[in-house]
Amino acid sequence: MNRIDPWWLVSLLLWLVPFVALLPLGFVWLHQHDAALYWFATIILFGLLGFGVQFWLRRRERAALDLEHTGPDPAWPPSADGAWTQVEELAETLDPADWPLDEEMRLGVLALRTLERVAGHFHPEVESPLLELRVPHALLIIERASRDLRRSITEHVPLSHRLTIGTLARAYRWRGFAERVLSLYRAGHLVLNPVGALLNEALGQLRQRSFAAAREDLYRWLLQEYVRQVGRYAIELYSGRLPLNDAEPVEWLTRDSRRDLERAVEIERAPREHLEQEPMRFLVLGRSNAGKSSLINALFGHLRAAVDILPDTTRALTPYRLEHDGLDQALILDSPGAERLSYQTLHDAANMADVILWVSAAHRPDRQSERRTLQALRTALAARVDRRPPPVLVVVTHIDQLRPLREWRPPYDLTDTACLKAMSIQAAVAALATDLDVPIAHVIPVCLAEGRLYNVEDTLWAALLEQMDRAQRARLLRCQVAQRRQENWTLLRRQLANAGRFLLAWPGRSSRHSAPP
Amino acid sequence: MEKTGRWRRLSEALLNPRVDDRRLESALASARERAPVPLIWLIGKTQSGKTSIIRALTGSPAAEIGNGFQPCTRTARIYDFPATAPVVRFLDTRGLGEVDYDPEDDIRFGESQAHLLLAVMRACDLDQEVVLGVVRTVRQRHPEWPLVIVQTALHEGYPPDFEHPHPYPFETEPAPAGLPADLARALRVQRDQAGDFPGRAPVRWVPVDLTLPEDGYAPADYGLEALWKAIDTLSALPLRHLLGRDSEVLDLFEQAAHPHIVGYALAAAGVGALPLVDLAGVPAIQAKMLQSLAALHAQTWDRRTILEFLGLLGTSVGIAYGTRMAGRTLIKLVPYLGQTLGAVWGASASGATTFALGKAAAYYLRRRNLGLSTEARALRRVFADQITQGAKLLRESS
Repeated sequence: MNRIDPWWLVSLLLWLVPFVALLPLGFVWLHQHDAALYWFATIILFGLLGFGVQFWLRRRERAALDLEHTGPDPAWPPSADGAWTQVEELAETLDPADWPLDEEMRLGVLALRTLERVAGHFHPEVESPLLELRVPHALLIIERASRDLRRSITEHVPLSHRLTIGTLARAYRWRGFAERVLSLYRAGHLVLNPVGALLNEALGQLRQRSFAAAREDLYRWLLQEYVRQVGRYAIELYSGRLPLNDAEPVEWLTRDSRRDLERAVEIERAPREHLEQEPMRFLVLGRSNAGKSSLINALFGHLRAAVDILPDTTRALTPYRLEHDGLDQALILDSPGAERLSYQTLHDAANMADVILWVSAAHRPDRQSERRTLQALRTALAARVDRRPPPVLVVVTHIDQLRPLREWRPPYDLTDTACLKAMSIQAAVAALATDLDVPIAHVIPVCLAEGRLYNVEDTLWAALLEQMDRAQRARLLRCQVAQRRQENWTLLRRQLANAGRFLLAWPGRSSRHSAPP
Repeated sequence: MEKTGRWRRLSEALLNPRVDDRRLESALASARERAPVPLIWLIGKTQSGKTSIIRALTGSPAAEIGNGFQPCTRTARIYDFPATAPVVRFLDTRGLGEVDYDPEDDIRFGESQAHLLLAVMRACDLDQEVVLGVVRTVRQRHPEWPLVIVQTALHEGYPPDFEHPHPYPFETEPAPAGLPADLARALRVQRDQAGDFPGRAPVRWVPVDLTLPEDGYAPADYGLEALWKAIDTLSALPLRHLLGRDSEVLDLFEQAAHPHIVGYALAAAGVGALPLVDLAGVPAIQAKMLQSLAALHAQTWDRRTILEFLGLLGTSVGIAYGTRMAGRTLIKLVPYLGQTLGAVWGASASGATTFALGKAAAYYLRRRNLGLSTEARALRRVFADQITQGAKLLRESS
């Protein structure tokens, strides 16, 4: 049975002979009819066409791959921008020929190189910056990078849903594996073979699906994506933003906000509600009597804060809970006149804010001190590399007091050059934008006088909600900073407590051992 | 012989409508040196209403004031009224409210000349520490300077559709019940914040609301009367009379012309008082005055008009003018005593004559404006009356 009978073969060939004979016969026929040249020309033409279609298909594959790659996180602090540039640079200069999949170790070296770049950016002063890596953080990086890489392969590589279940299962099992890898990593031998295996398998699958033409490009993309993922988590890690618990940082109330919420509840005598999430924090600043408390009342739509013509009605930073359609749970903080606040108080309050509302009266043009305070605040906020400065909106109050003095017939169209009041308001807005050095779109004229409420519910709220994107980013970073600070302390406390338990347990254990039964 | 020579020189100077600017400038400069023009020092934040006060006190339009300001120190500017021959000067400390404002320069500038301090604050702007600080510093250095604190923009404390209360209620103490409560409290709090000022000269608080007619508050110059009253009681200067803002002067043209005439008269008095200065300075000043009066009345001032005016005025004026000049020259011949007496004589003579000449010209130009002919006798009576008036005014203001 192991040898084929030659007669069988002969019979098969006899079957085939007439068909094989068609080829030379066809040539003879072409030659007799002088059509051989045409035939050759057709071969070349079809060949070229086929090549063109192939080329186009390849281009399309590559475009699909190029479209999808990991980018920097918009929530990152400004200090991470430089690190990301370095990662991108490394990814761009990769040559697939230098990183063959078959060689073990090579991919590990690539990850190591990425990590080194990022670490070097964050700790330029340390000789071997990799040692700055904290152990639990390293575990987390590997876990997350592999999870994301898997996700990005399944989402972006064509036909990757056909990857074997075994591959995916292996990716799920990574956590445990990464823990084992960690000891190797700490010893300086980073072996990320599973990645190599995964890539190999993915490539194998794709090759079977006639993607051989795009193989080179695909492999380049995989390598780049690998570098970017590792780089991304390395940045998260080194900028200290990677919290150890998996919850989003805003889903966790900071200590300051907890205190302010309790005060707000106390002030409003409202029923106590349990708050899980970190509220958005609005800070209202401005000179005394500019209309800060009136603004808060107007935002609420009813009386909350005490207002008076005499200054110093608001004596201290006073929190209120603000609720509005399209807005998360929020706290709004009323403040005394900015000139009466010490720089430190002002700075601390601004540091905790996600949006700053600067209130300025349209008919008080002596804004030197206001400009100085705001400028100092902005400089201090911009100097913090781990945070993005909160957006600043300027609210222009008392516009009803502008010329013509006695006229108040809202609504006003600020582009209407025939209306004197509208022109005055426009001029006041422009003057404030120049005086306080803010873009004119962030200056919103309102009227808060009793019975003359104007432009708050529509324009001001719209402008506020428009800033929510930036504000949310500011809140995220603020929470991360606060959380990390708190995390460091709780961890230290827990570790100390554990150490204490251990020490307490020690004599007990030893005594149990030593004591006679 | 000398009489006619001087008269010819005067009429030459008056007839020639082009005044030698250089000579006039030096004449005015020496006059100013001799008799410094009173200075009103306005201390207040930007847009607290300082320009409105100048406008209400002088009656000149806001745009003119805005253009007329000249910088004098790093942080202050000055407005001369009238521009060429000022009767009064306003000092505006504009650096106020700036972070590193140092009033020292402004104090040194105002020190020699200030006659009156006007602190200006918006009634409802209760953040006035900067203004009060500067006022206190100045008063410490000059306890004798009178101080008026003007509380402006009262309407900011009015409820909607509230009108200015009549009669002016802020002179009684305490203020009557009809006032808006917020405004009354704000006014009160500003006074309490200020506390007592150093210095012995009295302090007056005057709430005003100097708006524009188109703003819709009647009257536009609400409280101006009270402000004048305060200035008149505090200041030794008959400032209101000098500016022609008292109720005796009713005609608008006359009101506008008056401070110009006073200004030139004061300048002429200053030049005339200089014992050894060539008297050519006085005719130059007078010629300039006649020119600016004609411009004020929108009249051409050419050779024909001048000849007609001088013809109507007659030689009697020339004689009056001449005797005074001659008397001065004769007295000056007496050694030592002559120097002093001559100066006094010359000052009052040149000043009073200039004043009378200006008043007569204003009378003549006004009649012409109305299309009436001027009788020579009437014009001469005006001239004769105004010589005594002018002499009195100059005595009062020196």
